[in-house]
Amino acid sequence: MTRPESRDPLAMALSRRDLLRFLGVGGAAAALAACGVGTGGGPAHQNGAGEVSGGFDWRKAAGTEISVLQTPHPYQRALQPLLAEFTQLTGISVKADQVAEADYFTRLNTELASGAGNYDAFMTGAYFIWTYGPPGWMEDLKPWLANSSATAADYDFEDIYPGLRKATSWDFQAGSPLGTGGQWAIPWGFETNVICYNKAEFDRRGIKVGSSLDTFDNFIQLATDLTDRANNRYGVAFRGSRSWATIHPGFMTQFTRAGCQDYTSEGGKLTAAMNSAKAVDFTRKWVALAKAAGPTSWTTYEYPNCTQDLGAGTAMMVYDADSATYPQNKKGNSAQAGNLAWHPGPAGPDGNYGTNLWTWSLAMNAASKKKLAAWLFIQWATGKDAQAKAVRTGQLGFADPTRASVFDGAFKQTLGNFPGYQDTFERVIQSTDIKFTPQKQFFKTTEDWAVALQDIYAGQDPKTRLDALATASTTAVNATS
Amino acid sequence: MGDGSRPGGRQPAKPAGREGHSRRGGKSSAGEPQPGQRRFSPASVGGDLVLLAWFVFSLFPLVWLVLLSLKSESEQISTYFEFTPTLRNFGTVLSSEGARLTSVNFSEALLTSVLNCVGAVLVSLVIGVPAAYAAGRWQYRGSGDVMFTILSFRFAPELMVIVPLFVIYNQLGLFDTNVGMIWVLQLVTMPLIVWILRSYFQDLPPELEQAALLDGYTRKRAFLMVALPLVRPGIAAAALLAFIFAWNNYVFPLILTGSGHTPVTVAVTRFLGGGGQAFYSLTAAAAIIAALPPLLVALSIQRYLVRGLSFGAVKA
Amino acid sequence: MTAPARVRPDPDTGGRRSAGGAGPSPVPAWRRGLRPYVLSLPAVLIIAGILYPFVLGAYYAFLNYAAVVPNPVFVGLRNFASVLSDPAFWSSVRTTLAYAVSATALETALGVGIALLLNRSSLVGRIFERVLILPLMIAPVIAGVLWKLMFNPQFGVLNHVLGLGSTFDWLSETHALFSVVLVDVWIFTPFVAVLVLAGIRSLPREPFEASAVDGASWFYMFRRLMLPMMWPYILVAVIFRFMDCLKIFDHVYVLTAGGPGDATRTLQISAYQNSIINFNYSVGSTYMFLLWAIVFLTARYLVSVLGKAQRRAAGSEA
Repeated sequence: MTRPESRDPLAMALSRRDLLRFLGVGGAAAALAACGVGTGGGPAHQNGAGEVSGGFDWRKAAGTEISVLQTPHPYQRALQPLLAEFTQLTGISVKADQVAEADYFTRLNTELASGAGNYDAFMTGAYFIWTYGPPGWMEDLKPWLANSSATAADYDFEDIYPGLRKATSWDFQAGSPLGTGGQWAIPWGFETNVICYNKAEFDRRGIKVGSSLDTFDNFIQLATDLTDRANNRYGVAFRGSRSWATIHPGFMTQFTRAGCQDYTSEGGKLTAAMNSAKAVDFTRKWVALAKAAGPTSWTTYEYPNCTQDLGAGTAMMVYDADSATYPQNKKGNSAQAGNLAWHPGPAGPDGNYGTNLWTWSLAMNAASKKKLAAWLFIQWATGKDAQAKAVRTGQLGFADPTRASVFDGAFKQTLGNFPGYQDTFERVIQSTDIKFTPQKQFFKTTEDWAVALQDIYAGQDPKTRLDALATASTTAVNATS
Repeated sequence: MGDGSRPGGRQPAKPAGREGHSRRGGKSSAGEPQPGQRRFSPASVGGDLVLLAWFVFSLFPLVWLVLLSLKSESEQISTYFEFTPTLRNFGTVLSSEGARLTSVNFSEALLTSVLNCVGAVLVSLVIGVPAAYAAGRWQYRGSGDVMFTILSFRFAPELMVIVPLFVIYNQLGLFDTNVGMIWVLQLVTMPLIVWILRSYFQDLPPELEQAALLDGYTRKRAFLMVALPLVRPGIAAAALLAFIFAWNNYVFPLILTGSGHTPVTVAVTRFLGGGGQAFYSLTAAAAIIAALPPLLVALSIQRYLVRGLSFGAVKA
Repeated sequence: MTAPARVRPDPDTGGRRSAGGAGPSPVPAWRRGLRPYVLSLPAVLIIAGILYPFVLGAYYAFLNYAAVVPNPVFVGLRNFASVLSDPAFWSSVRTTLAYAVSATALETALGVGIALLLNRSSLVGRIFERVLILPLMIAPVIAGVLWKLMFNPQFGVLNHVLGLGSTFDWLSETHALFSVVLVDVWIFTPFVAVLVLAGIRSLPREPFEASAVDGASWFYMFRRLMLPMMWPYILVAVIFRFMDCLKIFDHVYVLTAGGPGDATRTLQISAYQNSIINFNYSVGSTYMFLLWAIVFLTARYLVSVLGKAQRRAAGSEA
């Protein structure tokens, strides 16, 4: 019962049978999926704020169980023990699920795109609103904030720093700045991007941070002087991996201070500007700094690597999130604990301290079926009491709290052994917000930007590489389909 | 690939040595040279050196993993071989603090993984062995196609199926269930089991079963009592490898399970932490605990792998 | 898949004919014919179940489904045209092929060698055989994290132990591909070795004994007898490894995320970055459809080579 076949493997590979197979798959795909099942999404969800009436009461949704999606983080670690108190206060039980940081947005993305509604509230960053928001996957929280039946009178939303409130609000129109449109998430914890340095080492060498870090060129000089490859020491650690996250912290902060912009906007059309003369010059210097004074494997460095090197005493400075370096200074967490201090970093040529921020915020799933309970959770977690408690009891601390009252109150009291932290914060906070131009193709274009940096690091010419990047980015951000 | 041009040469007469194995039931006495094998010839020493080199390369990272798991957090990257060992990481992983850190009870995650993987392998065996037998013993019309279609499971890039699978699982209520995981793990286990066993069934001389049939056995009993025991090393190897691949599968459980039925490989990466902190030593401890069940399975199936087929029943 | 050169007597009729009716009553011919299909049916059903999501995933490639286009429409072959004319795609193809070929070749050579060496049952072999399979116990994602720590020039143990200092970057744009292949070899060579070793140990003794009696050298026995009979087992290992390598993602993504630049950007990484990070599912699906096609065609070719090898093996037994 053998079937006749050609002996020639190549002929077999391209036999008619296979052609039919391919066509069959394609055809079946078209036919079956035309039923619409499987692309998820679905009709737009209604905002739930309008349904809440009566007086405000924490126990308004008692008896429900909500699911919250989180990723491991000092914020999450600080909140976890407090969840029991939330249940006691409101009668709502919380099922907390976690996804490892590297995979968090893969999972969140799949969840929201499918409209499955498995989670009612989730952690998110500001940039993700630009992608999750337009398709209607997130619930607009402005009506909820405005509804006094759903929000306690003493919630005090304005207590949250203005840059943060702005960062999580947008109307999704190209060219429109942040701060317009709906409120898509409530800032929960945030970080400014500044310098953290090894004070003990600086003192030993007699380095005065005030003069050594006042301009970008002095900063480069200092970092290069501190580099001693033979003894496994280098000047400054910052991110370089193939990810949008490489552009967002130190790079974007200093980029803005240098007077550069990522896009210019004119009547709804964005034009890439990361290849302007100033920007090319800055980028060249930044990458040269990475080569001269950065980690050897810069192209794989993410922020845990940067903070780890600082904590181990291998890196003398880190230009990254203050909240990431904060725990390194707590006793027992690292070899250099107790030796670290903070500084805003070099100011721009005109003296400005523009700083990019990241905020972990809490958002609500538009497909949730327990919106009131989810809103009560978000409200409680970002409220004054819970945040102050998290600051006081968090195992790794809670840096930085998003509320000015909590920062000035509970958080300030923890900063005794963190020299320069508060001073740095106060010098940059007024000019701290999201320095990127909001656009829906943020992740693609910013990742491409990081790839450009890596290519320049490998030896390509900055001007030509950035020109290519700018052309591609302009096309990408203005595409509508 | 695999021709004789290798440094150090080889020892002759392996089959005779192997015969020694099967005669003694799997373990030859230590140190006794096999027939035809010279004890300390340069070739044998050369071969041993090559083996040693491989095992140094193979085991060093694992030794390093163990060392890492014994380090405290402040020493996790600032020391090499000199540090103060502590068992605290293992304690944390298994305790309630570990559950707080990762939102899942680690022991429960281990059980879930065991359930999923054993279930997946059993299902694949029950379904796959007959299919492999059919394709291996009778080259029936279309057997090539069926075999290739089963193999084509492995072609599908996981990411291609994960989003539609997620949507469908939610619609069917299979999200975050053991049944859902067992079904999707068939993508991983079935092709391996069927293809490996088909080779074994193809090598089975039909004379053995014919003899059984002559003795009056039904086809089914001939299969169960004659063919199946003979392919036991194959089943052991295939089941073991399928179990390991199912155990280590990451993408499917990441997306298709929630807080209720988290398997252990997904739980391990949560220990890495976030927010600019990295807990390598804790994760190393978790990874070691997570690797223990497949290790136990491997060690217990070893003797089936070692014992050779006994073709003594058939004379050419 | 294909019949061996030597036709095997059909066991059903062969047995019964010689029994001359002394055995159990013969099964009707139509039922005998159906038997293989019935035995294979459950497997085929499971396949069909998983096929639907796959077909759906393929369908996305024909839409313009992206987060910015939540209600996608059919766009025909537009995605294919744009992806196939994108140099980034072809760069990914080259990288993936380079990875798959080198990893599979290395693993096969090493795996077969180790299996042959272990088969001698020397002292070293017997001690270490038990731990051969250990690297497979570590999930590739974890192995990626582990090796990333070891590769780190600042605090990694490799540079320390090998005396390479703090300036040697294992994951630089010139070394990255080699390093990720190295990790693949570390994890999966035991897979090949275990498969081949089990295969070697299941080979029949008689041909070797006969050859030894005839005074053949080891090399002759290896080349003429062992290798052809081992070939099917080796090929099964090659097929599985090669296909998995074409789709590689886990540890490469952890180590380099496809970088530096595009040095290790395999097809599934590109697909992931398009689908999940850029939220452009349709482009990602197009990449994956094309990846599937490549894996499919390669497997087709390899399987037919396997068939030839099996015919040769069966022929050499006769």
